[in-house]
Amino acid sequence: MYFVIATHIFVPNPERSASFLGNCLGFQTQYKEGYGWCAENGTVSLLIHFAEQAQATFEVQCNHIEQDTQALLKHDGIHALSDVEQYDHRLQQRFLSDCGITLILSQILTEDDLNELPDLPTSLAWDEKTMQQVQRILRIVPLDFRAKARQRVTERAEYLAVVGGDLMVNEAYAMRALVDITLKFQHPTLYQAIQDEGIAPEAYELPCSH
Amino acid sequence: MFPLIQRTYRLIRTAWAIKALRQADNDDVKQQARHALSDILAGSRGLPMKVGQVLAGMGDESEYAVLTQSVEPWSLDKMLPVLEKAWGKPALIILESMEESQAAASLGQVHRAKLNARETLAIKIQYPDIAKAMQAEMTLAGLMPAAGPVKTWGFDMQAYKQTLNQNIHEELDYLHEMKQQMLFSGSVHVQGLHVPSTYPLLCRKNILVQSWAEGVRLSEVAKWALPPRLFVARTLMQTMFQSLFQAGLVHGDPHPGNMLFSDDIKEPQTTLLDFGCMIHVDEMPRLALLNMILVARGDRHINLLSLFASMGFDEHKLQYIEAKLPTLIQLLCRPFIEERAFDVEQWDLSVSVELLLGDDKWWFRSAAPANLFLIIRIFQGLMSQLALLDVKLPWFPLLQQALKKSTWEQAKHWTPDGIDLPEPPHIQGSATQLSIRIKPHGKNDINITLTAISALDLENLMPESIASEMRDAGVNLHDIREQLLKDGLEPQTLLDLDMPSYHCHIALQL
Repeated sequence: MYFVIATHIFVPNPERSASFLGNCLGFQTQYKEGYGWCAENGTVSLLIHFAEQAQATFEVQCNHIEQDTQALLKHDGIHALSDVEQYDHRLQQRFLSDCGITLILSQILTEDDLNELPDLPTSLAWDEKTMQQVQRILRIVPLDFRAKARQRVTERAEYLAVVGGDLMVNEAYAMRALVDITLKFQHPTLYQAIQDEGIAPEAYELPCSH
Repeated sequence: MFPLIQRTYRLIRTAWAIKALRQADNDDVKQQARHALSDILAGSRGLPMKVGQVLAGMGDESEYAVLTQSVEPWSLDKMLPVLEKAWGKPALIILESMEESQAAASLGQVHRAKLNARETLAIKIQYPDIAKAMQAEMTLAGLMPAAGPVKTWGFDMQAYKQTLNQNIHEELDYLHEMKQQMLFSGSVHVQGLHVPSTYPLLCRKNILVQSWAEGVRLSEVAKWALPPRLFVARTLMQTMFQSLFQAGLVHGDPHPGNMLFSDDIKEPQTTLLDFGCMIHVDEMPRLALLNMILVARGDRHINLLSLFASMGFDEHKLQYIEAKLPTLIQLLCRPFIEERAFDVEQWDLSVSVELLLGDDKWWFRSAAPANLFLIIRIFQGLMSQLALLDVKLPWFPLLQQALKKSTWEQAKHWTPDGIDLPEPPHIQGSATQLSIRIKPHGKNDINITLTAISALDLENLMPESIASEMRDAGVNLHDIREQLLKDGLEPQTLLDLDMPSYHCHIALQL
């Protein structure tokens, strides 16, 4: 079954709310009928109704909260209620519009934002220092691809270790695995990252970037 | 399905007979024999595997549990005369000391003894008259009928019975066990594996003497740190690989009770015990099995019907599912294909095989040789051990390392014998399923659905007891096949027959 969910919201002034949502968040008013306004932005449909005491709250998730805060504040009729607030895994900024809608701008913090090095999904025992080196080197992989890279390099290093007759992953297996899973055009970056860890990249047939 | 139910009926009788016997006679020997029988039933070898599984699943688990409970060992006073009679001299002329047994095994019990200041022995003494008692129990259980070959649904029941008989015969002969143990020890060499050394001059048909082994059970190993657990897992895997693919001599009873583990300073050690039941795998099926892995990995290209025929499959039956064989071997060999640590707990082979084969699974099962179940059991044993250890390892590199270079060379140059199959009949028709419904009078009916083409094999599919009543009723299954070959496989009722013991309804359906 294919379906779209439309959300009903209740605000003191549907017309001004529809206009606010259009200006700030790109909603387009589809039609206006006796029971309210219908607006959508291609992803979300809203049916906006009148209710004198009501207050609607929207949360908008973004990737760059400071940049998007500045962009929002350029619009008329909206002001920040607080500074950016930080929680364990997210940042958020609250806004109030003059039409009665509260807007929360939020940003989920990534491992880079949090300066975290997620664990490798290991099955074998790993040399502790090597594991940390791999975790740091993986930061050269764009965030969107990093979880997959983390899994692939772990599997590859463990496979190479067992092929080599070992049950513990050491620096040699891990670096070899990094070279194996990294696309050739990224080898110069990998070269530098390995070198930054105090390891000689040449030992793993990684050509110098210069 | 049908033979399974037949066996269940037989087992209900067996369970009751054993129960009645126990209540009527408290003789210690017979109690030991009962225990031994149940141990063999639960020991999952050949027919006993099936029997044990059926018994365990038939809602009579309390009786089954009683059968498999451990029994108290006999006192040394009672067992010493057995040992001295076998040796022909007082035990303490040979031994420095001998202790009471701590645990009874199925056919005998083990005593710890000191040969001298350096050597500690494990002396397994067979219970007196256990052989005679076992035969009596087997007859009582009805598992060794004198009837000739019985083929039901294409399963060769006689082969399973022979396997059972042979297993019992071998397990009762400790000299045979000693030879097997020495052979295994001489042909399987894996890092971390220990096979206790035997003392041939002290062994007799009912006495097995070997070096004493210390260690903990697998459940204890599961609590160890990851590195020693990985080491133990590698030892278990490579022992199985080497013994199956290279030595052709596999421990047929690899349950945790037959293993001891120690975490020595140098490296963890796995000690294998009880070589009474070994599975011999001939060179042809062993090389075929190894080649199945190579074919599944894309390293070799071999005609799969010939390959399976070399493993002992009935190629005539397999030809009906030939198109599915390439995918099937991918499923069967998945742990050897994946180039990463393989998680056995995420591997649901039966579900994926069911999805691939559907009703055709009957063709595959009935085409399989009797000893395939033994090999499957060995793999299942290994996987449950890996699951208990909670470790994941890549399989293929361990297989590569477990076998000698010469074995790999032999495998890579091996080719299966050519097979000469008649063209399978190309028969038209819109029926897709063969439905067989058999109702023994006064009992629940049995339904089975097969692919429509199975109708051409009704003669082999029908259990002999039913086929014989059909013949008496003037039904000729061969004529039905000839008629189908002529007219095609169209939806129709092929047979709706009331016989003295059964009502049988067989139909082709859309």
